[in-house]
Amino acid sequence: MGLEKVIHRMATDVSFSERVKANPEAVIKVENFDLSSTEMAALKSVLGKLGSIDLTSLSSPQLLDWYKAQLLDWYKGQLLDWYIK
Amino acid sequence: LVYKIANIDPIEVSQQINLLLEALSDSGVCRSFTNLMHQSILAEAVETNDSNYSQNTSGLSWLELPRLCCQAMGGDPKISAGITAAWGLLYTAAHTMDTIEDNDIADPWWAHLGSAAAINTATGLYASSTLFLLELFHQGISYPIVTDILGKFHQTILMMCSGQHIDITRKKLSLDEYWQVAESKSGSFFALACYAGARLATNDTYILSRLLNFGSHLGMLIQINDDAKDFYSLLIRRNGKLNRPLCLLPIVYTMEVSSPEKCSQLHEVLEKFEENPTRILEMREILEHAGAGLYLITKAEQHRQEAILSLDEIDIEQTIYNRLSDMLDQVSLLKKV
Repeated sequence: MGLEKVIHRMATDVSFSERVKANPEAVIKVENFDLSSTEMAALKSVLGKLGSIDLTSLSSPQLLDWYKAQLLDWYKGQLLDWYIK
Repeated sequence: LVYKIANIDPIEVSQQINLLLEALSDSGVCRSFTNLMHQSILAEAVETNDSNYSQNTSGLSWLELPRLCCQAMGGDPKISAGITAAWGLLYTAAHTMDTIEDNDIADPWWAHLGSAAAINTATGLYASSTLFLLELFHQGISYPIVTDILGKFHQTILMMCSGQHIDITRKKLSLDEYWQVAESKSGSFFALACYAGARLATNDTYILSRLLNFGSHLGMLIQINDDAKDFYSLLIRRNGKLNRPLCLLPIVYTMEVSSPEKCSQLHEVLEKFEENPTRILEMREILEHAGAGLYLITKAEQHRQEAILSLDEIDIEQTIYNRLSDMLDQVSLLKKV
């Protein structure tokens, strides 16, 4: 457990989010988050796909475009409905 | 019917299911009851194959798992037919009980009969599942293998009951409890399909543990999918019915990480959601500002990667590896790169 704390902080703190995106391992270590190696690998994989998207603005057109490009169709459909409606 | 979905000789399958049902009738089980069991198996087999997960793939179905894992260990796929049937019957029984216990919408095959008849049918399916496993003795499978598989089936049922007990006796789960319940209910069930299929062809404990692990992570991915689907689709339909929302992953996560004020606000929205579904926008804002969508995506990615690692640690034929990894891609939230 620990991934949830990292993601919550990323979703609420732009500066932290940018630092994690730039160097996840170093930031997680410095900030003392308790992530397993598999959580870290998954986080890096997702962050690699997120690029420069601002996570604190989760209904931004930029993020919606990311969802359209990256998510499986069934999930994308539901998630986009959720944003649009 | 169950076998047919799993791409095993449909004639042989129909014959075996019919033989089982006839044998039950001959032993005093009334025809209307065996017909009802037949309907439930058909309904679940169709549902399993037509679910959102498999629509955009080549008809893959979870019922293929025992056969693929048997083949992965060099076993003859035909000998896995009994395991597939037993696991498929267990799937149907567990799904039926879960639907009733969660107060979900009744499946068409029992909607007109009511939940009491459905519970009774599910009990019949549990018994039939064990009868299929006992048939393995007559198919030349050795005593130690059959008893091991029988034991694993029943240990898994107990594990699932234990997870379900926590799930249905709590109104709210912590994130830690959520993952424990998911592991007990979904992870262990899909691990069973992989273990039992492979066990027919190997007793190598390392290989079996890798396939167990693969199945467990697949099951966790399926659970994340189910929660995402339940949550988002219920809200989109705005039918005002969210059964035990504090046990659904997006909400459990948000409650775990949010401030007490935000948690209270979310509580209030959930409590009054049936009266005022327009508060969906408020709920959306709370969840997404907590990063719920990103958390689900990342956890799904974690389980996908762990499942792949388990497969990579054993030597299996490429075509079977691809089929198993395709199953993961059906339930990963992110597209395959």
